[in-house]
Amino acid sequence: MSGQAISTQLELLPDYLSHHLLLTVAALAAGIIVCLPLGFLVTRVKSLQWPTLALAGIFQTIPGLALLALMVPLLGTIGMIPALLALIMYSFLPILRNTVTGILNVDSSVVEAARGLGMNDRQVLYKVEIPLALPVLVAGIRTATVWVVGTATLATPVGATSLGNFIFSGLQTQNVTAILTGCVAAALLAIILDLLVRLVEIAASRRNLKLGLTAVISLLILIGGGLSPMIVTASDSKTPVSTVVIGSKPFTEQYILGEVMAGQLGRAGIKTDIRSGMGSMVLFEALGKGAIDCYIDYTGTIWSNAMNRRKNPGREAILKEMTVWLKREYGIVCPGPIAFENTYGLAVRRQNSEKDDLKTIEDLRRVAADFIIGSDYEFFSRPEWKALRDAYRLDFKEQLTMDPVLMYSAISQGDVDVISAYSTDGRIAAYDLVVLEDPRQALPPYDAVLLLSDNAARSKDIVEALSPLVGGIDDSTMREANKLVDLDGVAVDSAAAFLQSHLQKTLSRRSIEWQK
Amino acid sequence: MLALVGESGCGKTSTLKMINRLVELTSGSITVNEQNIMNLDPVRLRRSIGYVIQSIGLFPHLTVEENIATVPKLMGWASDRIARRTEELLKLVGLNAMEFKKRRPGELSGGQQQRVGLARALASGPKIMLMDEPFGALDPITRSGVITEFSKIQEELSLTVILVTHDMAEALVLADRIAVMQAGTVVALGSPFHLLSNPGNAYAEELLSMPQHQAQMLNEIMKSREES
Repeated sequence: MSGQAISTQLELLPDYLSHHLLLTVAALAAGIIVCLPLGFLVTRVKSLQWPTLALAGIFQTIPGLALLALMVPLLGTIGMIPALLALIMYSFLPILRNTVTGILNVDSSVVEAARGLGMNDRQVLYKVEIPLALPVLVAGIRTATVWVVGTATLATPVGATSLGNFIFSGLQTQNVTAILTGCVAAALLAIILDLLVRLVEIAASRRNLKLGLTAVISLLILIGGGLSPMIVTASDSKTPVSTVVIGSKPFTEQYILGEVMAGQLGRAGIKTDIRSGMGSMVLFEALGKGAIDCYIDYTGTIWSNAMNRRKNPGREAILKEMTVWLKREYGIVCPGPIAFENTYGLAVRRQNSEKDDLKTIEDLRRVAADFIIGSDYEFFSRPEWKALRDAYRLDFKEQLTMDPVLMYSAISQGDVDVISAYSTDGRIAAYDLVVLEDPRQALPPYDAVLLLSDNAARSKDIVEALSPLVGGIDDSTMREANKLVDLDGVAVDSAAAFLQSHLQKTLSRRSIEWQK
Repeated sequence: MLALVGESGCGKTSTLKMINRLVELTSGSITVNEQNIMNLDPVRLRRSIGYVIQSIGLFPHLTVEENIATVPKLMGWASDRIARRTEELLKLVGLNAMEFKKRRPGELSGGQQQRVGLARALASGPKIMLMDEPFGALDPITRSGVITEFSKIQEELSLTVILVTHDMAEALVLADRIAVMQAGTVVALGSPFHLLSNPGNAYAEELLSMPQHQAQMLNEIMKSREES
């Protein structure tokens, strides 16, 4: 159970924590810089008050994950920038609302006296209103701090490294230690930042210089210490531009393959950065724009979702047409298939299969009215699901969306009767499920393919380092690697090491021809 | 000293606030020291006029000393001059400097707070004071003490004071002239003696006779006590 060892997780902590801290502190700093002056302005210009607070309120009502995901198409990029922008917007409401409330709640007779004594607007603000509103103002900043630290864990799916990497990958690979590490680290960070902000406030209101300095210095040490792993890595890399960015989708197989690619590139002395747990279309767009250099996708996914094709002309034709299309439309290079297929399939419990005589999806139609189908976040909104439903005229009693991890326990416990399973998933056998045949070929083939950005494909080193993957991992090998993580509790990087040693063995047995 | 009297909402406070431009004029003109206030910088104008209000408005986050030093600090006085001035003012309003200067407004009684408010308004040595019901929130005994002290201070510093008050007795005792206001206009103006003998307006007459009425009522109560 090496994957569950705390030491494995702690090794990742400096990197994740420093990114998380940078994201949080930058977002809060920007939030404060924008919202304090805006809040002061709004207390002076009453007509702006309602629209400003309403707008900030709208940002707040958008769920954190959705706000982050929205930034990706809006900004056309992934990673730090969209995550930062979303978090800044998230910090607006508490800071703004407390600034406005704090200032407006200052005793009006005190403000009148201040003006009557001959303070100008600025003096009234700085000498009277801000000092008196300080506790409320700081409370807003503290609320924002806690929210932003928490929400920043959701930056992982848009390609920004954060403590969320522990949580997302831990959830997918059923690694409780990883999830806990992420949660505890985020909680501690929130508490410490909150305390330090509070300390700055106490120091300011008591006008205690010593206390203030202590708070500010510890805040700086925390930020500096947190960011140092990043600074060290940045100065270590001689050519930071050449860092290859690897993408992966949010499921076990993709996490493993991401590590395999990183391992292969690392062996060739190339620096890498893994953006794990990203959504299919986000990843695809990012590759087209060169924000990601390489990832593994599946022919059927691109065929149905990116190319919007409905007919299924067969495995070979799809691969060929897709390769040409990717190059033409996005400059994306597909060196070739990996050799395994991870198809979507509908799976039922063996006892159901035997009792109701279910062998193909065709048979499912008879019982669909009594069956509940469960699937991952994507499937029901993908064209393949529509194609499948139309081809077999399926009408289930209910359809439930859930995390892929939970699908298997849901079907084995009888909460759902059919799930959309991935064919390389070791859990199909482990949970004694039967994958139904697709005689009408409503679903396209899902051959795993290596995809490279235009830029990455121009680098001979990158292409060479990744070439062993092409034709290098077959169905049973991939299933074995997935099983190691999903069922045996092995760490993702150990499973990746297993695949890499497998690649080395096959590599010595064959030579590879590159199709351009 | 001019007292503005009249019922709530008749425009006493607005008139006062127009003088230091907390409320801007929409028509007409006001002159202070023979200068049209519209030609003066409002901030400078306010610093040259003391301003005291019923709710006092001491800065709760500052000490008594710092409250009093507000205007001198804004005007850039040297710190030793400010310190001397603060002690002088505390003495003037009858508070022990050593005892009070480091306290916060929250630790003072209402009468003490109003004395500090008065000291703060006098800090830069203004010759004109605007006072909006300055003694209104004080209990009767504290109030009569503060009023007596204030009239001494006024005489000592030869201040020009415009006082807004509800209390006719206060106006009659303190003021050199009384302006009776009704619905935004002055309906009667004159010395207490002149107005008492010749109000010239029914409303002014009624208002000015209030203290006498009260005195009469008290007398009657006392009489009925004696008889029984």
